[in-house]
Amino acid sequence: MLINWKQRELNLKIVYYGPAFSGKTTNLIHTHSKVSPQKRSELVSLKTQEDRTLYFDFLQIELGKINGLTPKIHLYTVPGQALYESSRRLVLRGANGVVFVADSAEDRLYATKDSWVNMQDHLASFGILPARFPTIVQFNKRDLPNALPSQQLAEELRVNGFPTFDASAVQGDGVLETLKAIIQDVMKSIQRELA
Amino acid sequence: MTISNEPNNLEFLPNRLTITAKQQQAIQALGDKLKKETPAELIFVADRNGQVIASSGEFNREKLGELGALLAGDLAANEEIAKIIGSKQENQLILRENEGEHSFISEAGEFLILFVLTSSQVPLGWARLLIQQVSKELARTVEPSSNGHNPVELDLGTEGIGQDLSDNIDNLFS
Repeated sequence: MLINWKQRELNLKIVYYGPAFSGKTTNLIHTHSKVSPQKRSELVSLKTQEDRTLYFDFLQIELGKINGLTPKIHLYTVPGQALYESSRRLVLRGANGVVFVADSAEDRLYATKDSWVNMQDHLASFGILPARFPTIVQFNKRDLPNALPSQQLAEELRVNGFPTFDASAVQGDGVLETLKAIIQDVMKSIQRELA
Repeated sequence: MTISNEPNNLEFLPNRLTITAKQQQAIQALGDKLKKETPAELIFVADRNGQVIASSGEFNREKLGELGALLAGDLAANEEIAKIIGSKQENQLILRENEGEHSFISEAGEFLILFVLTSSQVPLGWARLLIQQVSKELARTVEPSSNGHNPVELDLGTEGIGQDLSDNIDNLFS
């Protein structure tokens, strides 16, 4: 978080984390398509030649003023592929909140659980208590025929207490609701921190 | 909900950097001075997450956020490379020599990044010397030891940000 008093800006960083192919970039693509150009940056994607996320995707959105401060929200995705462990950690560093994008497909359950634990390990290594860190869990790909029930996913991941949202990012369902929830969660956390 | 008076100093907490108006002016002045003395086409200062703090020179302001994110990623990746190959990591400086211009990404202490774009006519040694000096001065502007101990008072309200925030987010998508 960067508070700039002269420019009256509050800069926040939110990271979309999750296993490969869970739909992190799709969340940002949909957000980019729905926010008016005056209120967002271009979507920056550092991709491999195979069109997979190499390092991160980035999108900045600007909210209207709150108490005279303009919140600027910096949205990042991490690369999902196992190879890019170091990059995931770098992107996660300095985050004020995370959206964990879970893949609802039954055959991706192991990868999803592994990524969830991996994210919490990274947060803990930064001295952050994962249980108290602003986190939203998005159960993506609800449109798949082999999607596990959300309740089962919540139990498998032990998401205890974190808000969850069903989504189909490729169809745009649940994307904006998830984003709204994490922004609100992060802002509330800042309020608590500064109180 | 109101914003309290601006604090006199800055305070570091996990994941937080606060820049006061006075510090912003000092950072801007250092950037302007560096631009003139080098001379440089663009000076850009961001925090280590790439969040924009100051710039000097002609550049599309709408692209500054994207530039900041990429610079932060670039510097962070280089730090990790340095760790892997066992290089010393303090005061990293990344230089790119291009046909018409050179770019420098410099670590300015623990919290800031300095980016400088110069014409290729500017001697590299001269630019590097100035950039290293200014990087150290920039770092001092946000040193915890220089800030006293006044807490940052950013009052976003005690009853939840509530409707204002909710409306603002909804307005994004309208």
